[in-house]
Amino acid sequence: MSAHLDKPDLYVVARFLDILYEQATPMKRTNIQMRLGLNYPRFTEYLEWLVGKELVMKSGTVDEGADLYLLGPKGIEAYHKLVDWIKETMEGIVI
Amino acid sequence: MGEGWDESKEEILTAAASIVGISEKWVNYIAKRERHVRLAQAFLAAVLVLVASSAIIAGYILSQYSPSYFVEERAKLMPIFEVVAVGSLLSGLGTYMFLRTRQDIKLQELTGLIASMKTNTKEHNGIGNALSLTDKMLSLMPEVVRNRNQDALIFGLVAFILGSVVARPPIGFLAGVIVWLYFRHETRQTHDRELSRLEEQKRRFEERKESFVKSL
Repeated sequence: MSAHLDKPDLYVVARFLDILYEQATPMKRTNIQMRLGLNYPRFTEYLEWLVGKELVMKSGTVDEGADLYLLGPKGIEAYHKLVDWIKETMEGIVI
Repeated sequence: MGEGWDESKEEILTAAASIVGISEKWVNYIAKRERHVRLAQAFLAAVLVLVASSAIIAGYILSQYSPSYFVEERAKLMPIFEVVAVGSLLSGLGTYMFLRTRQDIKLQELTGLIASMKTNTKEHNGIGNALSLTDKMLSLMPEVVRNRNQDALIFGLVAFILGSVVARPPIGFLAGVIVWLYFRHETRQTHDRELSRLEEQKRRFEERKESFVKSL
């Protein structure tokens, strides 16, 4: 399913990781979608891509049957890498 | 989540705060630089209007009357000079306001992102914003360096005019040339190196954006 998304936008991926990292507890997919502000088909593509890459994990369902998602260890690692890289880039700006 | 998670979260918040701090430093630097250039440009516009209007009026008077008119009818000329002076001031002010609106658009986005990150970093991370901030910053910085080239001439002209008014035109000319050469030298020494480094940074940033996604 992850092949569905040919060229994921890093900004969307970053926001995805941001939301899940900040939440730290499992989130309903509708809540993630609302905070991301993506349309449903696009959101589903990204979610499946992230799950396929093991960055995001499914962590059960709630009573109403909605799936819950959580940032996996790979996702946390990727998030740290992203933050370190941005910081490093900013520190490298000198004129 | 356990203690490890808290540490990890703290690390992220510290990094985000550091990104905000660095961005703020650069935005303040750019804003200050732009303000100086804007002031110099507004001053030049006011002087240009003053000189041009005075020349037109003087030309008209000379075509109608003898040069002694300027001395004999000084009282009549005073209100005209006042109108010209006020017009010059207004044109300088107008230039400043116009340039501020035009230049602020570029900085507004950055300031907005920083403000939103500053609020965010207190509770959450806003790394999506930080990414966007870095991208915009890397696009703006080469422009700032490029603009510094033309700033030398502007500052030189301002020094020339002020020097001519305060002292005498030859001294003003000398002051203008010195200021122009100083800024030109300062810029030339670093311009090419800085520009290529910033462009290289921007290129690397774009490459890493792609490779980061691929590495996931």
